[in-house]
Amino acid sequence: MSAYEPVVGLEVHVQLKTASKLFCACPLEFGQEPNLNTCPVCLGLPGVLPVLNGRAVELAMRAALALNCRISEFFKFDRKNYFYPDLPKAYQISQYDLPLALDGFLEIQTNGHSRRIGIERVHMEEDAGKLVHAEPGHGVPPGTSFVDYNRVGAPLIEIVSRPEIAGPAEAHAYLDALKQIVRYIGVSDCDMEKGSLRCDANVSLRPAGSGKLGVKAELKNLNSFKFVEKALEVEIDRQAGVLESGGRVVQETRGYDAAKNITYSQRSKEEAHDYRYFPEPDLPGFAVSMQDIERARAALPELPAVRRARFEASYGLPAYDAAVLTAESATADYFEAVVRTGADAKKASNFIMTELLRDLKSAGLAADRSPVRPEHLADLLQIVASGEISGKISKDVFPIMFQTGKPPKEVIREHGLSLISDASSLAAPIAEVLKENPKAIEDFKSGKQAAIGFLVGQVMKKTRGQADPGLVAQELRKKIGQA
Amino acid sequence: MIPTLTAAEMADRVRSGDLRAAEICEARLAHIREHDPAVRAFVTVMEPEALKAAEEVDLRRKSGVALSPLAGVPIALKDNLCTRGVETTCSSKILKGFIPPYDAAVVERLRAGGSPFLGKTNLDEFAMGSSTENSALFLTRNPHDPDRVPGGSSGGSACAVAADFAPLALGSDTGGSIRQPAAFCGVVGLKPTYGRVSRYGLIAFASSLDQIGPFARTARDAALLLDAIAGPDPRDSTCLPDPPPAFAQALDRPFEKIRVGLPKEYFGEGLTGPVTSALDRLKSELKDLGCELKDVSLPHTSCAIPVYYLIAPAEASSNLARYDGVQYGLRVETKDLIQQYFKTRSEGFGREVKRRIMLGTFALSSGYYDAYYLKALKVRRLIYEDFMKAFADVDVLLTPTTPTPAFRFGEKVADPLQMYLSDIFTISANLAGLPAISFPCGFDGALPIGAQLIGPALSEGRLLRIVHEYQKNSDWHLRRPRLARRDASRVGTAA
Amino acid sequence: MAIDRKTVEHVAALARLGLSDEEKDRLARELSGILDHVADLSRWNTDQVEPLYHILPIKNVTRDDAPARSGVRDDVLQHAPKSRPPFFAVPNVLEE
Ligand SMILES: [Mg+2]
Ligand SMILES: [Zn+2]
Repeated sequence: MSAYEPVVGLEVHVQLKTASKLFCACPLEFGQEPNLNTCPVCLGLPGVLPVLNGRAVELAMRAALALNCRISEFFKFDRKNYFYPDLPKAYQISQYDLPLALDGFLEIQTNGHSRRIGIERVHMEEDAGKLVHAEPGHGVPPGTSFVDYNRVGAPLIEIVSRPEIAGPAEAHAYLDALKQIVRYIGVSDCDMEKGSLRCDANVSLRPAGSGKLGVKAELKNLNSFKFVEKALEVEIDRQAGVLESGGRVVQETRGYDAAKNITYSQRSKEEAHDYRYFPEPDLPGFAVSMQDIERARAALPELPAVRRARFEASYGLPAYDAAVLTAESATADYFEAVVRTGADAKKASNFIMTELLRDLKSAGLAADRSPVRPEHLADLLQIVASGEISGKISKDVFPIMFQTGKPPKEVIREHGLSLISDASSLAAPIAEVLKENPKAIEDFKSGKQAAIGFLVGQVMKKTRGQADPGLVAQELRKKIGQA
Repeated sequence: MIPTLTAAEMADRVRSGDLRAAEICEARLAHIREHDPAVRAFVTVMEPEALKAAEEVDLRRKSGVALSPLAGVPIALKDNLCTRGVETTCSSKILKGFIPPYDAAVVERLRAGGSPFLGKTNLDEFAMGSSTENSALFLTRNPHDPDRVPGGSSGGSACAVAADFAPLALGSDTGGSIRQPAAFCGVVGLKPTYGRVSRYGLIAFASSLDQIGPFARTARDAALLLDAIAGPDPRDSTCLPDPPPAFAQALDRPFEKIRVGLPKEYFGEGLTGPVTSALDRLKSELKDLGCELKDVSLPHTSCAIPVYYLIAPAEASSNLARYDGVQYGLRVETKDLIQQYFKTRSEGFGREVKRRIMLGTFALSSGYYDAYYLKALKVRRLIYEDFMKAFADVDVLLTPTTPTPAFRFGEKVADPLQMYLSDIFTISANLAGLPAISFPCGFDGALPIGAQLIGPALSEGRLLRIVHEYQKNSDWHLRRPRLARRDASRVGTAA
Repeated sequence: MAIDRKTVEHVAALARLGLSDEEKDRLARELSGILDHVADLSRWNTDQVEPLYHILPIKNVTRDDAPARSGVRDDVLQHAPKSRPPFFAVPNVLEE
């Protein structure tokens, strides 16, 4: 293996978060009844024409800018011709020689250091439909497939990396970084389960240190980041085996069988694909001015890397905290909303990372949908700081706030959780504890200072932690002195 | 007598109450019943739909609702225009049974304006041809001579107007498919500027060249129909956003002096004697009307056919790829999908369509794209620039529409190149996106001869204005064929 | 240029057109003839000429992202050559 080094390039398709399809008004909804979201245009009926969704262009441009690409001054659409039943027109409207954007890069983190992976191009295209293979029985003639065109015409961007990814782990890191940025800027959900992010990988081996690229295999439709990594691992092993035994790698498309953890050839018997790209005559071209680009750039939110650095610098957070808080923009926004009220940044960070993120995760929510509003969390931290409740109690208060959406004061009052801070209400539990623990009193009297701690603990237990421990110790000393 | 009324006259009489729209419609339908069996202009006659639409116009008039300019004027539609609920075949076997769930934009506009649709007219399959002989359904006969072709591809629509089945008809023009049959049938045919009329619902042949346009007997009627169909449409991204002028209204403005260019490349060899003399006479008549004639040159004219026969088939090969038997139209059942594609397309498409799909697929295929398709796109610009230079000196160009009058059935089907060459004078206007009109300017015996005017982009008004002025001073457009009442099956069968 | 039978077969495969032997031979002949005619274009030097993609002076044509359901599904399925509502039905793509 050491004689060869792998070279990986990734082609990622991301579905843009628009309300309607790329070239028609059909709604985009996941999990809708088959073929309901279709119209003459996306069904490719004779005589229909495409009209470009302006919002899709906006989102695509935003993604390209976030990936540090150069937006083309002029771009156009082309037809990619091939026959398949999921493609009603028998051509896909895509972009060929004049795509939306070129020459970007993505910063990735591996093994604690960061690296730039080049991005060759970002182009727009329409999605295809879905073939559903019939389950046997149900009166369905064998050998029949069903077609659902709900997804046909969904707006995609294809992000093509340069072959600069050094291996499976880096591929995973690249996908993580890509997904984070694209979600950050509100361009896509990047949900692989819903198909809003899909990945193909090109992989080849070359003699270590050589500048030349080897013959590549294309791995298609890898449906999770984990599978991308695993498929690359086994494919790299396979190619190394071929090369080491003196064989030659063939350029082909390969699938990945996750159950067997192998890749297999999908080479078709037909002649090599010839997509016969040509300019789409039904769509005029698109000219982009400097002002358009600047406007789009100005509308970009702060990107994760920048925000992470800022969280470290201006809030004095450890790198770990900054990374967790900025992993999603909604979390980072939440944190900043809490801190804006004057809360201590580190305390807010701790609370968000442990309590809030845990509850959000189990509820399946992002921070912008949190039932606990940032100002309520800020209030809670303030109440702890003032000594009204203990840090421990705050962790009992929070889940109730999360369940009910109520402000902390109300929860504390309704559940009687505030600290017992007047001596008179401590008299009874202290009397009980003293009565039950004569031995500890003796120990204390004979000079064992630690015994007071034990007695404080017993009182705290009786008050279910609501007592102010300082006050308890003070009262205990008084009572023992009197006795 | 109703048949001799123009569309404008019909519209006036419906509006004034002199004639009911239903009466007009019934008369046209009776005329179709009597004479269409000999001509065979129609693929589908929409009798009940047409009568219902006409009756609605009469009701509207009675209830005092203002009528649109063409309300109650019946019209024939080329069968490559989608009509909601009515089979649309493109005269192809592959679309047999295709019932569009929507109207083409032009159909929608006309329907809203109260146009009764008499029916769908025959064409060369997918509008590929110059004689309507490529219809997979049947032959259509030239009303002026049943042994001759009506031209194509909009042969049925041209015949419908020539035979007085309808005062108006719509066709589509990709390389001359309105103008050439208009010339062969002795009627006016206008191809508007590319982008003037929405192509939504026109079944695509070559998207960068196709345009819908009117057939009529007079320039005024053509202008009225253009008024009804032109203008922006959000469903066609290549439809111009500018609102069009009122074409019919502008016809009565005073006739200014117009500079008419005579491109020398269009008056060379290949013209028959009668065409040359008809054009010579026309030139002097235009001079009499105050036009100034000037010789000009369009040096890349000989490139038009080669460029067209690369670009149009290339686009067509892609546009026609969707006919695969999955969602609509013909499907030849087989066990596996790939075989279904091959069999369906093999049985569904006719000879000319296959030829063009092959030619276009080849021109786009890897290794040949640059030498053929890209080269054609570049020369297309040279052709366009020729026109721009010419229009610096003249307002319009005058040419014959075709080198010869209508030819006989079978005369050119054997040699595709000869057939392609019959479009030699009409193709350039499509490549340059320019408006062009053909109008009758003489006869060769029983056969009409057409002249063509080509103008700069958006100059339809000027073209119509010239033809209108000419028609005020001539009567070629009023000569009607003597219709036989006989069975069309006597001569030949469909290709 | 002359088109041979092999090229015809390759192009027909790309276009998914089934052709008989007679059609293949005829198309080889006809396409060769048409391409000979087309070869005329090479007389013109176009090194400095921009290809003409669109004849219109319009650009940046877009629509608003406003969703609307068409409601044509059942109509289209009803007229489809084969369907099992709510799906279209096709023979399997044979795995190669
Ligand atoms: Mg793609
Ligand atoms: Zn749609």
